[in-house]
Amino acid sequence: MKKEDLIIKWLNNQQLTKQESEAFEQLDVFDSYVKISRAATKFKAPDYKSEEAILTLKDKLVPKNQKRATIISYPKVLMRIAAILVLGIGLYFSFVKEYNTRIQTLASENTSIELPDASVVEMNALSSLSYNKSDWKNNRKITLDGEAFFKVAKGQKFDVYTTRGVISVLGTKFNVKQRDNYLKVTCYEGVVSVSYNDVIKYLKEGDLIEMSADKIVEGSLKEQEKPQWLTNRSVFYSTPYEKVLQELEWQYGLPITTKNIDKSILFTGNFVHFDIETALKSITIPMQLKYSITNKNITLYKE
Amino acid sequence: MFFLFLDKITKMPKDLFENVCEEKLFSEIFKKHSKNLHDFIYYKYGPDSNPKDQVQEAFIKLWDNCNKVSLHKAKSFLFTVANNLSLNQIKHNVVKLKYQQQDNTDKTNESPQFILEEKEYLQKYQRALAKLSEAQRVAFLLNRIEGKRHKEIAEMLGISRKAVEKRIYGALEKLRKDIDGI
Repeated sequence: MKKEDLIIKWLNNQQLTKQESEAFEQLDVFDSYVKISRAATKFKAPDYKSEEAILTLKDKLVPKNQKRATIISYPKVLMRIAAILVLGIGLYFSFVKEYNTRIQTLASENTSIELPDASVVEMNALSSLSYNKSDWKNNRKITLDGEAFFKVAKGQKFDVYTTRGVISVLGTKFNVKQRDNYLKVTCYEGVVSVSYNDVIKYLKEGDLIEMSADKIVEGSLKEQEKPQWLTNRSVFYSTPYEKVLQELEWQYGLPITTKNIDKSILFTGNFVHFDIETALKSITIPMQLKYSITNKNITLYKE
Repeated sequence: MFFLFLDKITKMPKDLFENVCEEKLFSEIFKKHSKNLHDFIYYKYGPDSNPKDQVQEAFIKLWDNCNKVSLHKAKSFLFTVANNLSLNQIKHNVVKLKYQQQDNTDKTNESPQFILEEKEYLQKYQRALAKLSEAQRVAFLLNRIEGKRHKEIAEMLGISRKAVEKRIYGALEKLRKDIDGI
């Protein structure tokens, strides 16, 4: 074993073998080493008592965990949640809601709207519809209350929501007539699907479907290419007189009372939308009835 | 709810000892390292560097930065900080370690001459110690006085065991030559 290795082994406080010990003691530096080694202990660092030191240290430390605990106090968290909610609701109403465009027509008023994708909607009197202008590209969805004729530009699904059902189309022309509990969809071009109560009906060109409170009638179109109301007139073919009167009330927004009239009698004819006198004449004269207008109240009677 | 959740996530240590902010853990670290740190500073820079204060300061710094220091890095953080703090404080004077006065009361049989020789020897020793490099002195005294194994010193100083052996052996040789006046 080399001298240096021997010394290092001794320095590492390892047990030396007898042979090694003897070799070590033989070294000329042995005495000096032992003396130096022994004397070193006299230079010992002052005793350090970590138990005492930690006590003085702890006084100087800012308690971390408690400080943290106060940060997640519940009121603050609740405030944050509340703030987020307020912001969210605010944003929702100021952006999302605002852009739900709503269009309404008054009695005797027809409007034509061009939707963002160049689809055209003709709205009949006393109707309202709303749609999302900003999201129109992805979401062609219209909520309709009343009657409207749609000329849909080609593109993705186009939905019309009514209280009775949903009409979905892919580029077509169709008319939707919705009155309280009554829904009539007429397809003028292309294909329209009408879904209600989980039932889906497909209407081809010239088909129509009528849903009243109690029955659903499918039929085919007898009218001309476009619904008559677009030319400012309502046309009826063998329609119960009651419905004709309802339509007149709807168009002019005036209540109609009747005296001695059989309302189930069938009527074929039309009335115009722009002049109440002409309209009343056209539905009374063929039926040999009379009418009177007093204070915006219309009364129909049989002499 | 979301924020509660976030807070929980941020509070939850990814690794059990990701940081040393737990008071109990911090105390453990103190118990484990404070004495070594103190001795290290004392032997390296001498009593004038106020080793006790440096230890305290280093631990305060560790506490302040407890978020950023993992348990695994705490030791080297402490040694580096204490070292830097001491360097800032001392004006590179010759490091003069104090030797303990001979307790003569129960050693009446020793002749006055022996006592005088002993004193002279220790003074020589003191000067020789001051001449050692800091690295040599720390390794040598930790080994001789604190009785630390080479491996322990290597871990403490973050150097290899071979380097520690070299330093201690070098210190011993240097002391011998110095004291024996070779």
